[in-house]
Amino acid sequence: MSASGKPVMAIIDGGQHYHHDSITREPFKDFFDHVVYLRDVAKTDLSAFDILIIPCRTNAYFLAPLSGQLQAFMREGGTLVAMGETFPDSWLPDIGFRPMQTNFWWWLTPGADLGLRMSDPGHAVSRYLGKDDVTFHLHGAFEPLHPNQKSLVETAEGECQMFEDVVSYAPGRLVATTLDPFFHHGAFFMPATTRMLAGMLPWLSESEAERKAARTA
Amino acid sequence: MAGQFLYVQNAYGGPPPALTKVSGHQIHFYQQYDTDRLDWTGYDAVLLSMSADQVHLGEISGKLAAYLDAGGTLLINGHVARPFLPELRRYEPMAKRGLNELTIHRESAHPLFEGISAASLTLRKGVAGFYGRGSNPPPEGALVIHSVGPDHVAVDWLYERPQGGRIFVHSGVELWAVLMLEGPQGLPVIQKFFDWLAETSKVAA
Repeated sequence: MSASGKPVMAIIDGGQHYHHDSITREPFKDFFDHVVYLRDVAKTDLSAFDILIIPCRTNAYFLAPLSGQLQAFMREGGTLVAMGETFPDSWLPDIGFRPMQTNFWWWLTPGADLGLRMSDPGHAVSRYLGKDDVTFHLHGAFEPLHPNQKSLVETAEGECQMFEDVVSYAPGRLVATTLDPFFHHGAFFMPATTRMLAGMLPWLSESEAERKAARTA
Repeated sequence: MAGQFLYVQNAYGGPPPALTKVSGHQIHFYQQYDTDRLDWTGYDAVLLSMSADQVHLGEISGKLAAYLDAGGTLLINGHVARPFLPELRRYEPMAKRGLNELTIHRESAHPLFEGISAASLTLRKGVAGFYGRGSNPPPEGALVIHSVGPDHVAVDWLYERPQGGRIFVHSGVELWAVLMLEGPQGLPVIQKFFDWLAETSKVAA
């Protein structure tokens, strides 16, 4: 944690333009205290970070060799965030994933509703994100959900689109989502994805501060 | 004429489905970090994905330039965030997003886009904005094929380098993905792309 008590947020840059533009341009650039290039992760001491974000579409083939390091980061208390299309089912244990055909066009039907919603209105994340901020399209669902994985965003059918796991890697936590806002926001496309990041980043930071405070109390 | 192409992929999973349907040519699919030790000299064109790692491309820019110097064609998708060749400058997004701002204009007729109108590129499934929303600014002397918006900023351009080789830039979502958004009728356009690249290649067979 920084001297101000604000959690240290780091993000991986896989070299994709949408990573660089999300990370270095307004409105989110001040959220990131450290940017670690994907191929530098192995030689980086992650213990300086409280939160490590793996942005959308980071190549999972090159995350797999980092699995042990990323799990150790969580076990030492860190929060790891796996965003959409990073396929954490391929590099972390106990994650189920069922891909879906992406429906880019659902919103062209008048009155259509993709059906995404916050799973638990009582969870703190629901103060930061609402239905309209997570509704853009689907890539798949986390299935089956492990008992430690608490769904935060789901479809009308209850298919998990984002979960938090505060048990498997305690005292650390894992947050994973199938949604890919860094990709679309960073490509200057789809305003809902910008809203999702505008809610998700403060939630991660503020909930991390609370977790740290509770642990040291 | 059968061409040989290298697709530089930086994503988990298989190759872009549309490219597996291109006929009469060979396309080799490699993960990006495995391409720097490949011999590129026989490829009629090297295709860079919109998800390319541009840090890595900057590290191998000497290889890119040498391939171009020998007469190769580099096809670049996506936004340039880290200019990895002297001909490239950082992507400039457009501020406004109305239909007028997202209209695609054909600036120059080109065999690459024969049979597909700029209007049909503007609207995919009736929605504007998929094709291009800003510009990778072209170098002086580049042929601008498509532009976007009232300021006509360059979206697609082709640059014949004085020292040899050519660079085609599409400042937007992966070309084959956006051409396939309407369905299978996009395939002949993609096929023509590869046919033209092979026919006009200056790479020795």
